[in-house]
Amino acid sequence: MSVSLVVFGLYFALVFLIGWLSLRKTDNADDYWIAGGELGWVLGGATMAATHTSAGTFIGTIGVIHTVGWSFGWLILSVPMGYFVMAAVLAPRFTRVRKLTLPGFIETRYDSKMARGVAAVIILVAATVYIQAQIVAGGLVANIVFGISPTQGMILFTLILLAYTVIGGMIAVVYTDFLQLVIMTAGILIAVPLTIRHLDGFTNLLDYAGAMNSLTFSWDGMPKMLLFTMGLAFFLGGVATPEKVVRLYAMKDMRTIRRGVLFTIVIVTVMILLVATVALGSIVLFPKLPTGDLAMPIVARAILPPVVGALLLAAITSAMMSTVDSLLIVAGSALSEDIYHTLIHPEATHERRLVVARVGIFVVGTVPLLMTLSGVSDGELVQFIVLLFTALMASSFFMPVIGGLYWRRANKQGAIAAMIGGLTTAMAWEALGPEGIDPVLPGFLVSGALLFIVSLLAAAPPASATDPYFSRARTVPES
Amino acid sequence: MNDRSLFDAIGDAGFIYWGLFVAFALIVVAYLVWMWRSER
Repeated sequence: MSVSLVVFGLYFALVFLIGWLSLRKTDNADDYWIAGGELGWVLGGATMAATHTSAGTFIGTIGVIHTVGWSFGWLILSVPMGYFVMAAVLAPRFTRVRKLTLPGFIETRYDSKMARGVAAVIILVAATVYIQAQIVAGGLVANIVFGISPTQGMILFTLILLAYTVIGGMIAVVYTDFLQLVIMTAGILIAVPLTIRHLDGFTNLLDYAGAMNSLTFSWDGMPKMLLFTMGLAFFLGGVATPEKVVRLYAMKDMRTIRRGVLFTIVIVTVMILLVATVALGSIVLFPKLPTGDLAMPIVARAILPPVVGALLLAAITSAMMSTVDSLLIVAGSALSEDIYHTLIHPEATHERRLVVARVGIFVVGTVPLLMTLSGVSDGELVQFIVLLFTALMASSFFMPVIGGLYWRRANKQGAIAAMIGGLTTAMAWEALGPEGIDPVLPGFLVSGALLFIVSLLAAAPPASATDPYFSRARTVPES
Repeated sequence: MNDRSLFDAIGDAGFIYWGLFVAFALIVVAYLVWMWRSER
C-alpha cells in the first residue's frame, strides 16, 4: 500500500504542476482549445496516442480477451487502419481551414450554425457515455490501490481530473498526456517481461493459455459478424471522432501530421498488443474472475513486484485520465464555443467564454459520475461501453465529415439528417436491435443514405462554403 | 497434395496469434510507403 501511495502521490503532484504551469501559458481561446495550433509531431502524436489509449485499452481489451480469447485481438488492426485513413484521406482537406472544434468545421463546411449546434449536442451525449466507462474503471483501480470503495474511487478520480482540466485547458491536457504516455509505456514494457517470466517463458505462456481455454486461439469466441462490425466501429470511429480530429488542428502542418499519426499508430498498436499479451497471462493465472475487467488490476497486484505493480496501476490511471481530459475539453468546447458563443451569445467576450467553458467542463464531468453512481452502466464490461461511444461517434460524424470533404454537393440539410439519423439509429439498435451486429453498421448506413438523399432533395451549398475545402489553396501550410 | 482447406489453415492457433503481428507490420510498411510518396 505504501509503495502505491508514493507512486500515485508523485504522479498526481506532477499532473497538478503541469496544470498550474499551463494556466500561465494560456493567453487566448486558441491556446485553451488547440494548444495554439503549433504542436510538433512528437507532442502531437503523443497526445493523440494518449487520448486513444484509455481504460478501454488497459482494462477493457484485456477484460474481453480474458473472456472470449485472442480473436478479439484482431480488432486491434482497425486502429492503425483508421489512423491511416485519417492521415491520408481526412487530414489533407480537413485542415485546409483551421478551426477550434469539429462542430466548428461542420459550421464552416456546411455554412450552418444549426448543423454546428446539432454536432455539439451529439458530442455532449456521446461523451457522457464514454466518460462513464472511464469512471467505472477508475473506481476499480482506486479500490485495489487505496482500499477505498469503488464509489469513493470514482469520486476521487473525477475530482482530480476536473481540477487540472478546468484550470489548464488543452495545453495542460497535451503535457499531461505526454507524461501519461511515458508512464503507460514504462508500465507495460516492464510488466510484460515480468509476466512472461512468471510463466517460465513465452512459449509456455502461449501453450498454457491455449490449454486453459479452448477459445483462446480460435475464431469462435464471439460471433464473426459481431467481431467484424465491432472492428468497423473502431475503424470508422478512429477516422472521425472529435477528440482525435481536433488534434489535427493542434499540429502545425501536414508534414507534422503525417509523422505524428505514424507515431500514434506505432505507440498505440504496440501498446495494445503488449496489453493483449498480459491478457493471455491472466487467462493462465486467474482463469476464473467475477469480471474480465479485473484481470489487469489483479495481475498488477498479485504477480508483479510492488513498485512495478504500482507503476502499472498508475499507467492504467494515466490511460483513463488522458482520455477523459481530452473528452472534457471537447465537451467543454462544444458547450462554450459551439452552443454558447455561436448560438446563444455571439458577442460574448473571450473571458466570458472561458468561464462558460470551465463551468461546462465541470458539469460535463459531473453528470457521468452521477449517472454511474446511480447504476446506469452496472454490469457492462468497460470495453463494451467504449465501443458504444465509438459506434455513436462513427454513426454521427463519419459520413458528414468525409462526405463533406469529398462530395461538394453535400449540404446542411443532408449533414443534419445524417448526424441525427445516424445517432438515433445506432442508439435504437443498441436498445432494441438483435444482438450479433454492432450498432455502427445500421447507424453508418442510415447516416450515409440520409446524407446522400436529403442533400440531393435540397439546394446545393454555397460555393463560398465549399471552395476552401475543394480548391488547392491551404490555410495550414504543407510543410 | 495438401488436404487441409484454407479455412483449416487460418484456424491454426499459430496463425491466429502471429498473423495479427504480421498484418500490423504490413500496415506500417504501407503507411511508410504512402508517407514517402507524399513527401517526395
